[in-house]
Amino acid sequence: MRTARFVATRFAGMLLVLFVVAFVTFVVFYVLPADPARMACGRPCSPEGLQLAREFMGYDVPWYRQFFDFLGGIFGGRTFGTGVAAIHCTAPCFGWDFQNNVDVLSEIGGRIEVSFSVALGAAVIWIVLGVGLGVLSALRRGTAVDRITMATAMAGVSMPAYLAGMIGITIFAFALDVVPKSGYVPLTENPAQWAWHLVLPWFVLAFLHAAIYARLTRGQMLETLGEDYIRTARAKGLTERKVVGRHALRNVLLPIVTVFGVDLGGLLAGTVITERIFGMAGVGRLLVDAIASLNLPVLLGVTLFSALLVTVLNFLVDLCYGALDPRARLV
Amino acid sequence: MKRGHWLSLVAGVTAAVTLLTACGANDTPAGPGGTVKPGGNLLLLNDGPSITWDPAKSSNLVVTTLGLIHRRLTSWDVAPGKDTTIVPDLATDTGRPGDGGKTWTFTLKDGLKYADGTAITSADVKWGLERSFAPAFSGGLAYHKDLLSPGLAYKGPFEGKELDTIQTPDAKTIVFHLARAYGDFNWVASTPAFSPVPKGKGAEANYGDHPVASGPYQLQSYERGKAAKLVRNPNWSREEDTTRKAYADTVDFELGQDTSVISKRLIDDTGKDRNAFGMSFASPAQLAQIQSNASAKSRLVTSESGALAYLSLNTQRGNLTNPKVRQAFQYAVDKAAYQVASAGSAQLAGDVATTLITPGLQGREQYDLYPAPPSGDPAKAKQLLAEAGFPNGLDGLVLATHNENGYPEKAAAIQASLARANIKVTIKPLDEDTYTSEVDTKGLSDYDLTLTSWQPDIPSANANIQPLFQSTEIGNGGVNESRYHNPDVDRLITEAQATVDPAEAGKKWAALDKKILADSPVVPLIYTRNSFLHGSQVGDVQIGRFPAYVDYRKFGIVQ
Amino acid sequence: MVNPPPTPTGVPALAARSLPAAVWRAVRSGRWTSVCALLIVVIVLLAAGADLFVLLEGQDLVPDIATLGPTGLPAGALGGVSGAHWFGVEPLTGVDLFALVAHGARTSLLVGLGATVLGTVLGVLLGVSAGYLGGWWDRLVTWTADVILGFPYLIFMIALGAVLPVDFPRQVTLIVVLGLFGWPRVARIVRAQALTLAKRDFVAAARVMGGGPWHVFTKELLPNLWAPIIVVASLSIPSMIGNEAALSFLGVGVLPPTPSWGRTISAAIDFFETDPMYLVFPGLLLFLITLAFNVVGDAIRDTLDPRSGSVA
Repeated sequence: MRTARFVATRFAGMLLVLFVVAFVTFVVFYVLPADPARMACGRPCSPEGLQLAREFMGYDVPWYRQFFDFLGGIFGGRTFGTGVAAIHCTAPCFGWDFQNNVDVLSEIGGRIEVSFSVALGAAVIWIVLGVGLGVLSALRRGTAVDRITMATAMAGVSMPAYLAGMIGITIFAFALDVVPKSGYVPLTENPAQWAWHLVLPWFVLAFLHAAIYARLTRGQMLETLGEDYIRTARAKGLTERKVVGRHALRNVLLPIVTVFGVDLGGLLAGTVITERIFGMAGVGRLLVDAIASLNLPVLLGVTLFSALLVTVLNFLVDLCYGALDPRARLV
Repeated sequence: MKRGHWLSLVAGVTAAVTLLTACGANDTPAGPGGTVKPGGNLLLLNDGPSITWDPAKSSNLVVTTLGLIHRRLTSWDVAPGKDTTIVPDLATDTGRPGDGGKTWTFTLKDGLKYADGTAITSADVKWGLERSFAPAFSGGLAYHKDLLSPGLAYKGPFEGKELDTIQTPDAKTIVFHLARAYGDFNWVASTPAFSPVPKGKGAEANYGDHPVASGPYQLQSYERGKAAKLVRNPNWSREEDTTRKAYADTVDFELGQDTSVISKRLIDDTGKDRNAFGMSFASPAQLAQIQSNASAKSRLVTSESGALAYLSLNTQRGNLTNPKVRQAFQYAVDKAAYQVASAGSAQLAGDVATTLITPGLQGREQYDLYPAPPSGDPAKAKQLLAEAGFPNGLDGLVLATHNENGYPEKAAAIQASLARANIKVTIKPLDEDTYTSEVDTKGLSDYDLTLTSWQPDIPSANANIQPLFQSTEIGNGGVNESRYHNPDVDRLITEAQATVDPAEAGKKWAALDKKILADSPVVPLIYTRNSFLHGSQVGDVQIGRFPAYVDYRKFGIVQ
Repeated sequence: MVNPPPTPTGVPALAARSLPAAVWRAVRSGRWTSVCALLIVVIVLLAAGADLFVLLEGQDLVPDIATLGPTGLPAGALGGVSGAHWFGVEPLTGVDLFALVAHGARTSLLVGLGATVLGTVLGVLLGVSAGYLGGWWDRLVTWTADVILGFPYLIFMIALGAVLPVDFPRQVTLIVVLGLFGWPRVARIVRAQALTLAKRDFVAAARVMGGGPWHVFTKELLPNLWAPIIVVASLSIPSMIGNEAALSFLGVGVLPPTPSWGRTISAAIDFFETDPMYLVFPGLLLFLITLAFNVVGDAIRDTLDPRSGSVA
């Protein structure tokens, strides 16, 4: 009963988050003196042509009307124009991309596999690498291993993603020619090629993120190892492996999970650059292209989509808290 | 084609072509003595994520991507070292004007067929044009729209109405009744909307994903953001269509590639990349790298001319309303520094511009009203400013420019050169949409200066002069960024547009060129060259005098 | 303020140590830490006195194509490094690279530090209060953080950049926007810690003994939060500098001609193969300042929390 209520509350909260994100995005673009209709007007663009484009795209009504038209489309679908050439966007309609004449949801759907492949693969690597190196550093505190690990971690932290990506591709794809230069092969088509094309982007992304985890793990680990109950465990004669594995690591994972929840949501941004450099058509790339061409429906669709992702992930993070730290169990 | 690169990207044009470093020279195949022959697979690398294959929505030039699958009524004869001329494509001739240029008649060639085997009729050309008026299919080049339906009263064929200014007395004849005399209408007939669309088809929004081809290729597959593949159209005839060579058997596009990775792949020149061509311009950094690599250098093609880069002076703002003040800018600007900031060297950047009409357009006359060394004449500028009553120079001017394609750096070069003449300028780089809304849409812009470039969509001086200097193009999305308003010039532009004889029209445009520049509404900077890189197995990579893009119709694989 | 209750046993008397003293102790704790601290001082001085140093070099930020070779690259070896141009010159424009980097340091540090301070202060206040007070406030803070994290700040920056007038100081906008979008990260970490701490005996004891929220915050929670705060903040500075770089790269950060490491690095990446020094100088400085902040941050952490230091 308690759990059901908790889930229901969180679900309602999630919807509210999405509503606010959609609303704020709308307001921001209303403030922006941008006119997406201009892109659909052609060259030369006469005032009449611009007005026609606005009407067709539904930009001729006040912004709050546009906002409710949009929300209505999600539940009931939308129709642009009239007659045989009218565009029908079936529910759930997250907008229509007029530049490419396709509905936004199917555009995102067609690219989601790429982004997930990049993001999740990289996440697995950096979690394993980051936490592993962090624990190692903490246990070997002050040794060369610790220093080298932490120095590398700092290099990773201070490297702009674009720089790391370009250096990676220059060395491994061009100079050494050991990995593919660009492209994406679907997992269903050829799993080996899929992984092979993703190796470099995975490690580039992991290199940038693992550092944060290594540092955090190390710091947390050192702190935990100083706690009384660890001393007690040691005093009881437990093996170091058990002390670290069963008692210390558990405590260390709490902040790690927090950061991970935030990171995965923000990973969409990280994949933007990776996807661009490695020539992969994912959701991040969709966003960047939409910004460049002021493709408002796509911007809005991707914004809402990433909001959905972050909200769901944070929900999971909250559940993990409870599992990891009984003291912080949510009611 | 304003601001080349960016708009092209959006419109899906993104064409790239370069000329060999020696101006006008054709590219020689780098392979061991091979020549370009029919066959092979050509690979085109594009940084843009999508290509608009729907002719109604396209702003492609005749020579680039869309020309591979769609033919138009007329086409361009483009070759290095000569001015670009108009030639027939689907039509038997380049159009017959009547009624002093208000009526234009075209006749289709015999035996034309689509890729699916059906005959191409004049009704299809009319349908294609009607379709371009439907709001769902707007977005392409629209030079025909106001001539055929003033005020865009016609809303497309899908509401059951025909456009009665286009008549098709028989299956091969099409007659256009224009709202006013227009001498360049046959040039307009080379824009994408004049491609045939089978009558009754193309109502679906995604027609561009499976267009019915009339050109040498048809679209076999297209994945937005990823790839496209063209295969031969069995009904296209090499003998009949002489404007296209279409050597390659198949053409592959890789879309959404990072420009620096494209450049690296082409410099590397291995595997399938030997058959590749980079559709985007080589950036200054890439040019510097290519210069130090003999192999890549031999595979770089640079145009001999290109878009007019210019500094516009807002003739309706502050002290710039004084022509003498504006003339001082002609001397103050350092065009040599602008060349270096553009591409590293004058040779790759393009010649210093002194006229408004770009080279390669018929009727152009070379002249220089404000003779000065390429690096400018600050002393002369100061003197003119003093004469105009500003012995201490000008302060607080704001220069708007684009925030990409090196414009901020180029603007910094302009800023530094103006400072030599005591003209102090603040730079404001704007993203594309803000630029359009702030600079081109407002009736009165808040900026004193703008730095941009202009490449005409059709090879006519008309397309070079009218959009930039007729007073009707002030605000509302027009690009008369200097807010130049001269009733005399307006009248002469209308007259020149109505002139049907090309030679006579050319003279009128050349006279206008000088007349306008005497008022100094803009400072012409350079005729911007474009450079393109290709793999070693790609040959016949040519750029004519206009446009500054590689002619996609002519390159192929060295066998 | 009520009188502080007696310190419960088991809590180290960290509150007694003032932060400046801890920082000083940290700086002197090791050779490398001292070097890094010195580095921070040097780069901060470089940023603060950029004009003076550039004047000393005898250059300015004005383009000069006379320093360039025939392809627009700097004339001379190592990107044109010479007595006149300490770091060489920028390709295509001939602007003195030392002047560019020195002035860029100012922008980067200003934005990086400013945004970090704003983000951390907001994050700590909101995170602790949410974790400690709980209830509707906790839900509101968590929820707001969710909204902000779900909102691509890039789009927001672009929109802001488009509507702000040209003379509005862009650095301030960047600090505010990066700070406002940066606090949820801090808040989430701090909240999780506060949640744990709030249930601990010594905090409960303080509360039972009549300590108000502010008292508990300053005397019981904050001392135990310094370590994570410092770690998060020290990691935040370079990431904020990186964010500024990313935004500048996209043309919505600091506007040209105001120099910024971010913009210079972004431009220099394209010249990596032909003029590596163009990337090396700003890139190295960015790397060094990051490293320095991290090392010093770590040392401060160790000093603030001696327990971790006792574990070998």
